[in-house]
Amino acid sequence: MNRFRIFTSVCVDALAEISKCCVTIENGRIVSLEAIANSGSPQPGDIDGGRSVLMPGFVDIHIHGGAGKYVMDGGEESILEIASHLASHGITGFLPTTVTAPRDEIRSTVEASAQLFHSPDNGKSGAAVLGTHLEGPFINPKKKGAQPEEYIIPPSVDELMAQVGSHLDTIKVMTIAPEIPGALDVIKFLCANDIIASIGHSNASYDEMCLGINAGARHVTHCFNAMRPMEGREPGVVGATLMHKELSAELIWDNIHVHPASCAALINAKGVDGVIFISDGIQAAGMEEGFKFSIGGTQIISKNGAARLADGTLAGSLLTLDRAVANAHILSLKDRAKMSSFNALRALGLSHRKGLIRPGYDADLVLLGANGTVKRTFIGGREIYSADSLVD
Amino acid sequence: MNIVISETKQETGSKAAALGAAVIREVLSNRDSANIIVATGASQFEMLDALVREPDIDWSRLTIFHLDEYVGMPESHPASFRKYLRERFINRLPVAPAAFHAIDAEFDPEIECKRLNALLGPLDVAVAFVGIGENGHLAFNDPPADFGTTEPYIVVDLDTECRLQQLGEGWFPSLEDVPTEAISMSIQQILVSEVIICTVPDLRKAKAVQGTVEGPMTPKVPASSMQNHPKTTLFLDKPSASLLKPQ
Repeated sequence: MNRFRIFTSVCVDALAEISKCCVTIENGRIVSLEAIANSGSPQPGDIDGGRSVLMPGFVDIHIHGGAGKYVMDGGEESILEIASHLASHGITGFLPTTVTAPRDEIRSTVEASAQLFHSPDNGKSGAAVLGTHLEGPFINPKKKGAQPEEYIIPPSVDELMAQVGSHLDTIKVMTIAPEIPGALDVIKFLCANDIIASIGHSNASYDEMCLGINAGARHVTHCFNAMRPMEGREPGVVGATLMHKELSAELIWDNIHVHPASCAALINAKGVDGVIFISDGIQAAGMEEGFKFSIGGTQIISKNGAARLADGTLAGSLLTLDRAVANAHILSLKDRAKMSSFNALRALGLSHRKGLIRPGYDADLVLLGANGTVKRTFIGGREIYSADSLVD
Repeated sequence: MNIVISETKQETGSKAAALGAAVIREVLSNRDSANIIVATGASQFEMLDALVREPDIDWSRLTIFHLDEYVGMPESHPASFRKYLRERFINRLPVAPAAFHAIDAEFDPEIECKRLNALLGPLDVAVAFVGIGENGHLAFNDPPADFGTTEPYIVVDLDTECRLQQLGEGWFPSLEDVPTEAISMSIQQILVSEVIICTVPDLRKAKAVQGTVEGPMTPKVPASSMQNHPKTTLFLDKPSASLLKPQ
């Protein structure tokens, strides 16, 4: 039996913030939490977190790449390299996210992601693959952002099935524009198959948003970015997101894609249970400024803290969720634990075993040092990442 | 208690449904009508899915009651148990049942209990399909459960452990949103059912299963009250049975 304890000055999850706490982990799961006063001193094999903060591992449900790799490179290897890069930033689970692309490219990415999802080694060398997020190709060309317009196609369940083959059960989120003819039928199909229909890259009016919600859409992709903004007479996608409680909203808190005041406004409107931090990270995340790459033939450069097309259009972020959690310092740690972990896991239907620091839950944990730097990442009780020193 | 351990959740659910269906067919071959009780929650997904597909059951001769419902909850709420049962069970039956007596505690739980008690009190129950909570609860009888009351339905308080389970299963956005009161079928009412079919998959239930089977019969583990029931079968998967002593 593999058993060890983590001693920490603060242990925070979506339910509580406990100081001076000792968490016992046995065979990959949390078995107890107790006050340090009752647990003696760290023994060999235990981890003395000193002044670090212990949180549930972060979960990123929208990420395209990192460390120079792209989830659509075509194989399991790139996704595994991204997974390992993510673990070094405290992410313990993620959804490899496709972009609008030819059917074969989407399909081979879905297959690679499904292989990893079902593998007994999932989560043993990096963040665990929790499924796949399909961003497009059923989106609105008017709000394409950096998605290649030539591969945007009309929504249909047949086309979706051709993209996913026998792996429908591994698809967890699909980003779709509800105003495009045929989209509502796809949204209904997604709901019937327990896949989150997420509205994004959309120019929907408020009325079109209501039809999408009525069809079963429950989520909004990178709120504020690549969508119709809110105006007094036409609430658009953003207004409907703020208004409708049943929608949870993804948010890229990198202080570039969304102004921090807009982030705060979104959280004020939706409450701390309705917002999910995502990175929307691409290859250049974790690489030096000036890193150049291409997606589907489009040249992209990492410049001024974000990835941009030649014309300056934002093309994904350089963010990792540890930085999002640090950027959101105006919120309590407990609220940040909700938005970086619990809310996403709840949406994925996994919150009964992941996302809280409670007995019975998987030991997917991150230890954070000063300024939110990741010191240790544990996935299923395994130490997957360790910074040189626990002391800052 | 009989115990049946299966490899997977699906197998656990279909075996439980198969036994339940067999009992229902047997009862209906001797009587014109019968009453059954169904449960809700994540543990019943596979069982109900299999039960609605069981052949040769004349559902039109069955009256259906259910175990519990939150106080103050409209049927439109995603966590509503009557919504769950209509969507996952009643609406999927090949023919409509004789009656489905949904618990509606949105406005006045005391009056609703009186209504239900008048309906269920005089009836025999052929089969009760139940589950066990992470805290060992049976229906919404959280520990310490009232083993004595013979009222069919009662108003109960929900403890934090029980409310955390509901949060973890994703029915509510935050702990504050989980109601603190519910209407629950009483322990005694469940125990007067002729046959009890208890379906409990998942590792997170292992401790509760251990207490139910191996522990003393105590209100602290409400499901342990089934130990003396002559016709109870516990359907487990490998993870939920993992703490039981080898037989």
